[in-house]
Amino acid sequence: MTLRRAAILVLCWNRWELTRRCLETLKEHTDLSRDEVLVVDNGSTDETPARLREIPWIRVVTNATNLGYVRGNNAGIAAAPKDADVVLLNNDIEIHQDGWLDALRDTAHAAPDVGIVGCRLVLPDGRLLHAGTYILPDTYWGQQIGALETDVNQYARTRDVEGIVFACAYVKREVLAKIGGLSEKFRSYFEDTDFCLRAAEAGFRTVCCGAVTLVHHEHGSTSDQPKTFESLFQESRRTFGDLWEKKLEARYRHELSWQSILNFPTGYAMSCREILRAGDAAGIRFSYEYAYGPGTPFPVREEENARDYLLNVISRRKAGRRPRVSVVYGQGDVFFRNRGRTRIGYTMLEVDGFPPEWVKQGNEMDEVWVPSGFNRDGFLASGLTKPVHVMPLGVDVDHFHPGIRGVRNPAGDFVFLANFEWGERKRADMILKVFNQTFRRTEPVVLVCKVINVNRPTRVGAQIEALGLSARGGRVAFLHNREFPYHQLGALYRSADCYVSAGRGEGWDMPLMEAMACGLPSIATDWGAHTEFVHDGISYPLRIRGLLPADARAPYYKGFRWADPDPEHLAHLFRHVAEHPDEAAAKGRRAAAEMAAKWTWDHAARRIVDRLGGIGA
Amino acid sequence: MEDAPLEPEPSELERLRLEASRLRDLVRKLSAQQAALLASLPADIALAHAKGVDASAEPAFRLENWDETIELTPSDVLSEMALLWQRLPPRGGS
Repeated sequence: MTLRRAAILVLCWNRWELTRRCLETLKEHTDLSRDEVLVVDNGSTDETPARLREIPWIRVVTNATNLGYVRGNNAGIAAAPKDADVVLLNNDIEIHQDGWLDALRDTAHAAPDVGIVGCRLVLPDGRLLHAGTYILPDTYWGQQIGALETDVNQYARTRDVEGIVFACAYVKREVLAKIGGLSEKFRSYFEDTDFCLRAAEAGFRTVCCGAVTLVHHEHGSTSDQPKTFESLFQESRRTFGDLWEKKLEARYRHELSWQSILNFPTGYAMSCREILRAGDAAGIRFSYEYAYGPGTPFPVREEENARDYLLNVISRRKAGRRPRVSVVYGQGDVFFRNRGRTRIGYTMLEVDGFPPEWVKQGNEMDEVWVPSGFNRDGFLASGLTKPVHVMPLGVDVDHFHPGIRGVRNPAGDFVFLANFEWGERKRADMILKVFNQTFRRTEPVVLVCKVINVNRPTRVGAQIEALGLSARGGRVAFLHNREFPYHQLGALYRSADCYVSAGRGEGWDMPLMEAMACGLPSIATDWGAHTEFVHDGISYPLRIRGLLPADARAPYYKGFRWADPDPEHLAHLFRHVAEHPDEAAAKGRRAAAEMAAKWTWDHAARRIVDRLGGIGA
Repeated sequence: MEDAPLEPEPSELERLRLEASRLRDLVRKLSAQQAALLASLPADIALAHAKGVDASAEPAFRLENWDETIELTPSDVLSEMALLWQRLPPRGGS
């Protein structure tokens, strides 16, 4: 434990009830034997001054008038002991977590270059409000990471961020010594981002400590005065832009035109969103263009609103007529939409080869990217002659990790989870029949199937009943055509004990990777692109009996083969996993560690950055 | 004109008698095995068997709370899972 003491500065201006609640919860959940609480009264005119005088365990710093947020806090920093770190704490914060201060202090002193530590903030209604901030040079409008997501304990690790809101900020004395206090060029707003950026220039990292969560009644001091908020905000925004425009632009080291799909519930779209987010953080200035629409095999127009601030900003950036480098990320028959001078096609498929049209369009690219060696081999075997690079996808370990809160089965049953679009490829029929025959209803085991079907002629319910399952066999429950917010999917996985992916072939299998990142053991077909990241040390590979012609509705599979997963081995694995839950859980833990160590979107983005460096982009 | 029935040879009669006796023994043995097996069955299945119902037939699985739609319904994982666990049939009972 670090022995550096801290001065906790609580700035207040009127609204005594907020301050009272803040101080009461602070006292209840903080060991103040070494640390000091300074309340800076910014010229309050209500009962605040009198009430503060009644509290013996605080030191009050009184400003005669309201100096505003920045100068008020700087007065507190000036009054703090010179050998102490400083914690800036808004008076609209409530603390409900013992040990919060020591956790922030330990994080701050875990490395010499950590300078500022923030934490998760939640709203009083329980929704997440903040897990760090970012700001884009396009708009100078700081955004809170994770804002308004249902709190399932996402962003639980300690991670580097560009900034934090100073509703709670642990600032090491070394930072104050080097860059001083908050910049008085700002009266309120943007001073926190400015401070973090100045600290970064001085060599200090800003991190968000996910182990600490505090409650924030946002804008406690100005929420009753919208005009005051608006004028303060816009004034500070202009000041911030003048100070940081060039430096924020300079963080982009690569320009890349990205032609893909963003706003549909498809695998390409979901992964596209993550590539853009991680790539932006890695220094790629993306512009975006929808790759499908009229004239393509998917002629539907795309909605403009991505329901995500960063993605909306990126999608409003337009590349020139002939961008220097452009990637089409989608099916191989839309590679022709690529408008770049250097043209890259990035695609994947679930079978052992690629259609002639995809190969033809691939050969018109300068190079082709695929996520797996499985697809590289299939493309080359199908006649691709252009360079092909394996560029694996990744997983979001802030939303998919073992600490995500699920809803556990109250009866304590062992829960298998399968997640599939209804169809031939995913072998739903086999999974259901084998599970139902392997177990009896009397056993503490259940299979939950999340099933999607958007194909009108297909009547999934009738097909399930036609499988001839037994009411005395293993119990099965369904989540049919439920569309869950992406940030909550981890909670689905964490409601289960083992993930089952027993399909005939995969182009990547993002749900499997997400389940593994959540720490679930998995049963996964031992054939396909996902073998790039699955092995028997972290999963239960499902044997195949051989390869079969890929007969399915998808025209892209015609003439190729996919796997024939072995139902007898699946029955064996179902039984083995259910009867060896500790062994399975250990595999799950290893899977989560390996996903976090090797397969995050940051890893994927770094590979893209490296490749762009390789082609001089 | 019909042929007159053939009178079996004495040796053939003896072979048929022996075969009938062997089959009677086999029926007795199988009946005893069946009785022992029935005694080990749960009462409802033994009763169904006595009434001539095919006790080996498993009752069919029936979907409950299923809405056959091709529309996706925006949902919340936490509330959906809580509801799913509430609706899950308990272990054992039919």
